[in-house]
Amino acid sequence: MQFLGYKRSEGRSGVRNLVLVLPTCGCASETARIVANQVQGTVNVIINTGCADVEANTELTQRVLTGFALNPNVYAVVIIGLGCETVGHTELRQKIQKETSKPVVSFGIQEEGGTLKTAAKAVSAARELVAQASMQQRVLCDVSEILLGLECGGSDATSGLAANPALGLCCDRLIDEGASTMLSETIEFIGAEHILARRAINKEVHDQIIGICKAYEEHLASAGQSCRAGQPTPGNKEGGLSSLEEKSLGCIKKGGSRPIVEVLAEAVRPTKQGSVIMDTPGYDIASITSMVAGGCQLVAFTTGRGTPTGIALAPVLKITGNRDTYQHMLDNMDTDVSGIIGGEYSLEDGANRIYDDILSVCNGKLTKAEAFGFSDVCIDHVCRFV
Amino acid sequence: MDIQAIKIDSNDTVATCMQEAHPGDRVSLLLPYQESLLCVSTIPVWHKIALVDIKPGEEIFKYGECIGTATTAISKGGWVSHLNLVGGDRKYDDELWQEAL
Repeated sequence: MQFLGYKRSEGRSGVRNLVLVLPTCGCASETARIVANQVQGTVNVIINTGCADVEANTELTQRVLTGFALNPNVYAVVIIGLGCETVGHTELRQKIQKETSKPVVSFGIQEEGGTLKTAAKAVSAARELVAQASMQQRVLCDVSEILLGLECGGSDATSGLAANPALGLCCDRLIDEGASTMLSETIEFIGAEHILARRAINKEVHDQIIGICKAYEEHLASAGQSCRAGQPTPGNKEGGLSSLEEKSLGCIKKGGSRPIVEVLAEAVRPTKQGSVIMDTPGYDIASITSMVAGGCQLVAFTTGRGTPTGIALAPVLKITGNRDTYQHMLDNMDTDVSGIIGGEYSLEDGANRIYDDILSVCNGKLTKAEAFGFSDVCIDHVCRFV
Repeated sequence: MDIQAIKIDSNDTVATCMQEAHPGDRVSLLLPYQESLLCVSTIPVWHKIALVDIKPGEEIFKYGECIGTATTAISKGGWVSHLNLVGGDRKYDDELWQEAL
């Protein structure tokens, strides 16, 4: 398979061609929003961290911010800093510039003297960058450049019966053609981790899969919490999923059956091609944030009950195997595979529907979440703010 | 009324109802399974029906895997949900790589 994407000077090609207005921290996020609102062709994200954090939180925030900037869908970056945050705009810009030759500019609110003076300069820079970006042409790219994030949310019993196995079959086809996929949400491996581990390419990856599940449970236990207190969610239970094991056994089906070649920490880019795992939380928005920071150009998101989630940097394709949900939430659902359970077509046909929609989205078709301009971001946290 | 349900693996002790089922409904499993059973509870759409009598503490199987244990006795044809099924703790250390695998 080939798709029409945007070639970048290094790394994978993009399926979108965006100028990202990137705040360094929460305090710069609203000014970044004002900048992005003035310039068509830019997107902004709201960042909830970047200051008053312990070291581990800071490290994750920095991986997400640099990862967003490096994402192949981003043509150029306009960084908006405050001036007293943990990592300021100049330092963040230099970190990003070490890894990419894409245009990156940065401004500080305290240096410039407030939101309006900052916005005046940043809007001017952003306007110039979107003009440059608009000169980029889509060209034929090989499917091996695709890194597809996999997510499920608002699951019900149809997820494990239709949408997830169909997406899994689609992933097998994509991987056989040379693409890479990223399975996430460690909590939703628990109860099925032994099955997932059988797909590991070697002993190291096998034990990493078991290890991230064990570590997740221990992490929550250290805060006096059980992962089973919040999982399955109330909506999952209402949708017919009664235990974490039952939910997980359905969840892992979206990853397909090919060998798992690498297990990554949150917001880290893969070094191998094929089926990889990222150790993210079950909270969809945090998981998608980390996967997009890890370089995914698009996300295939299965749902039973329906969810609107979207991130400004990458298309998020909503797939459901629940006919009532597809019809009831047509505003938010992209791909209908309910005919699998209905017996109208096979699982393979369902997988092909997803494959075709993924290809269309890679070629530029907007997902429902993109058309609405959704920009959900949440950076995961390992500890309270200080 | 005749209700259809999906049994995924031959070892499963529950099936997923494709419509809301009521006591007295006949629940038939989709192919390749040919059995049918009498529903004895009100079961919401996409929820599970017990395919056998299940004792308290007995493991319940879906996808051919254990999805937890019963907290109460559940009759064949009854509703299996988070109200009578509870997950268990994992034994991660036993799941690590073994050369014999």
